[in-house]
Amino acid sequence: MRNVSCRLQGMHDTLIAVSKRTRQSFQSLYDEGKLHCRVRAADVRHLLLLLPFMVHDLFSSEVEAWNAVAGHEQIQDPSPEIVAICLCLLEWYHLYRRSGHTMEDAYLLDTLAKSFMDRCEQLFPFRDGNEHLIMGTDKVHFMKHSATQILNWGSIINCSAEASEITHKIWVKGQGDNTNQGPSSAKTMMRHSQSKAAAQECAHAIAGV
Amino acid sequence: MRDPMHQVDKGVIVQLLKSILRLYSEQVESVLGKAGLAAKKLTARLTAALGSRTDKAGRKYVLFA
Repeated sequence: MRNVSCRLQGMHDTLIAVSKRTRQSFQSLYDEGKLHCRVRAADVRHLLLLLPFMVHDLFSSEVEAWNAVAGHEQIQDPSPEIVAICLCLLEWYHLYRRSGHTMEDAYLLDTLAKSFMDRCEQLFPFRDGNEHLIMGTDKVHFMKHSATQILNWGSIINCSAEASEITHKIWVKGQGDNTNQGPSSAKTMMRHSQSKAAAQECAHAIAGV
Repeated sequence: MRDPMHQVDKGVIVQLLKSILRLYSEQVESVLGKAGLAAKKLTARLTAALGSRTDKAGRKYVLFA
């Protein structure tokens, strides 16, 4: 029996590879308000997948200990609501990234987006410096239009700019890695490349080409 | 035209992560007087679940990312 339990110890281990910078995402967001530049969109997708497990009962023991002390203000661990909202976004996201949407899918996508935004409004009632809800950004609002976009373009992959962005990273920004100065010289190299192209165009214009 | 797939990954999900940290800060950390505890605990959980390690049976989990 002991052998069986030993063999099963790894049964809940995840096979998702997440880089060190990605594992420090929460700390980066807390300290600097943004993710490290090495964290890619794919890493963020992995974080969403892991999020319900990560926040599960995050503060249950601390809250229990606090509430047990007489005279302390009673507080609640918001983790169960956070897990629910993460699952709602995951359901929407899974449907959104799927190919071959039907009209029913588009309708469901719309309903899920509205439900997610309503839940966000209730769970995160905090406002930013401009008095906007923190989950009321343009990008979050876009979720309401995703179904229309899919109906217009057939598939969401048709308006992806991922390929051109990766090309830009490799062929423009990545060139800086090949120098002694490392990635910090990437911007300098890009400016140099731009001024070279501008000079060439100028020469052509003067020559009347 | 914006890239909708990209703006969900780096826009919506990141905004949700920030909002979660804010919620923990307002509802729990400020009362307990432990600022930044949620970020620390979440980082520790991610590292424990996904970091390179050897389990009790001697199996090695190594990340190549």
